[in-house]
Amino acid sequence: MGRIVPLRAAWRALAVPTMIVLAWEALARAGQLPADTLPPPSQIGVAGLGLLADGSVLVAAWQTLQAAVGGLVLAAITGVLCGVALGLAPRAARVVGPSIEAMRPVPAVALMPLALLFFGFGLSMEVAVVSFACIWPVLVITIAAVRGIEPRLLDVARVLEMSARARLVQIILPAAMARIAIGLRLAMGIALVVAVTVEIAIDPRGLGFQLMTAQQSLRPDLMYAWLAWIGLLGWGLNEVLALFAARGVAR
Amino acid sequence: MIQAHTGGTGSAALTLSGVSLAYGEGARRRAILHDLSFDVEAGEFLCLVGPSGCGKTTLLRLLAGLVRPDAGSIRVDDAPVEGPSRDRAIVFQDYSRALLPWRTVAGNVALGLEGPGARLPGALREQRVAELLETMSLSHVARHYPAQLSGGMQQRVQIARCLAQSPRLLLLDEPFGALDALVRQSLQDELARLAKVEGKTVVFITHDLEEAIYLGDRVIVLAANPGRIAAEVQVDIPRPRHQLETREDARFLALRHQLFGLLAGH
Ligand SMILES: Nc1ncnc2c1ncn2[C@@H]1O[C@H](COP(=O)(O)OP(=O)(O)OP(=O)(O)O)[C@@H](O)[C@H]1O
Ligand SMILES: [Mg+2]
Repeated sequence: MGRIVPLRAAWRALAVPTMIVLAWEALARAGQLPADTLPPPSQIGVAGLGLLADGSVLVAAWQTLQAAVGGLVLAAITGVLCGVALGLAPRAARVVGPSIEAMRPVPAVALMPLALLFFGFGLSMEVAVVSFACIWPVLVITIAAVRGIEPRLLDVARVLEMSARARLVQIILPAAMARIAIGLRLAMGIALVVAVTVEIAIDPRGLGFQLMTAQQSLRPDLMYAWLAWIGLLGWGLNEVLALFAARGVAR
Repeated sequence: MIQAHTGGTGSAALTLSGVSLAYGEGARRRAILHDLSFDVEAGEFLCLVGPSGCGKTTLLRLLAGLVRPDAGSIRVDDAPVEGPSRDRAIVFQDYSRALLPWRTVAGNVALGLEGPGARLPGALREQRVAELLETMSLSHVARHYPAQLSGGMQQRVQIARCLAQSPRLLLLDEPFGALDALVRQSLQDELARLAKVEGKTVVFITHDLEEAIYLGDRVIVLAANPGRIAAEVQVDIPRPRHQLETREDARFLALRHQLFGLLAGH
């Protein structure tokens, strides 16, 4: 039972896309669609497999993942550290708070020219923009999580005369972890989007750049193929996130 | 009252003089405890009773060093209390919040053995945890998490953790309120026995007058608004006490009458 139902659901979910692709293929072959914007799906599929065969997908995906994960990790570490510090020091938080609120709404992608100025083209500037975008949810949620820790647990830590380090490792981090994980999950969702955006806009590397290149060299089939691969990567990351989420709920 | 302290050794382990505390700011400021002075002797079992909201929990937090008084002084073994100490364990009233939800029962008890000034080697630590779990009848749930336990069991975990801390002063805030009558009675006897065997000084808060008389060497009755001492009685009933006989003892009944009148009068 448990396996059959999801399988059936999967077939049902595929019904609509399959019909669209079949109709698209039929219309394209009949010459009813403009070939420079809507090439037949079969041609896109061949192009996509070609990208996989010559390894270019793997190279580009690796470059994009490097930037997304690198930015995410940087944001996670700084965000959690600063968030814990600010969560524990309400006075400092009151001083820094307005600055955070002022920076947070700045669209990360608007910082691309600045990042380019500082780092030039390449991984570093992409990581910088991604981490700027990712740090806010981590920071803000970590501050709230640390503030929301059950005060009785902090009493217990005090009575046991825990050192600052023991208090952090034994009490504060585990107590805040469930909520910090929510911030990290939000940041993960943002990381890939921002990385691809930076590549499309200025950074000559990764999936986004390949997508743009294909479009500019008038290869709509390649462009759709790259788009499909980006979609697949996003879907894959999302599944990983969902796995994390399920684990989080189970604990 | 005759000043023959049945339980203590004669020297003060804990001294409060003129302790006052107020909460709130400005016009909302309200005296919670007013000019409290009393001693607790080393090895004494002191029970505090009083109506809800009279400041019992606040007083216990003061003794633990978690809160500082606005006026007056609190001294332990003649040294002023500057802050919390491992030597003064406190069993919190809201037991469900005082346990680490991510640690098992055994892990929560072991917490009391960790940290500075409690360096038992690993094997001995495990053994000590096992002993304490046995004492508190928790061995069968050692690997469970607090959320999987009943309120009474959670409270026992907290008591075990405090005992693991091996404090000289044990502060308990209505520890047996959540327990059913049978478990409650057996834990009362267990606590009384442990306290005497290990020579611990105990300050025990309860709502329950009979519990206070049954356990205490002395009972202090607090009155509310602001919290202050309404009465203080010595309980000259020999130990070990017994759930049935002691509670039928003429002295027990006399104290119950006397204190019931006092509590009801406020
Ligand atoms: N942090 C605080 N800020 C302001 N008021 C407080 C605070 N803690 C306690 N109070 C007030 O102090 C009074 C005494 O509270 P406390 O918890 O000590 O009473 P209690 O005797 O332990 O009551 P109970 O028997 O219900 O546990 C109450 O009126 C409470 O509202
Ligand atoms: Mg209370």
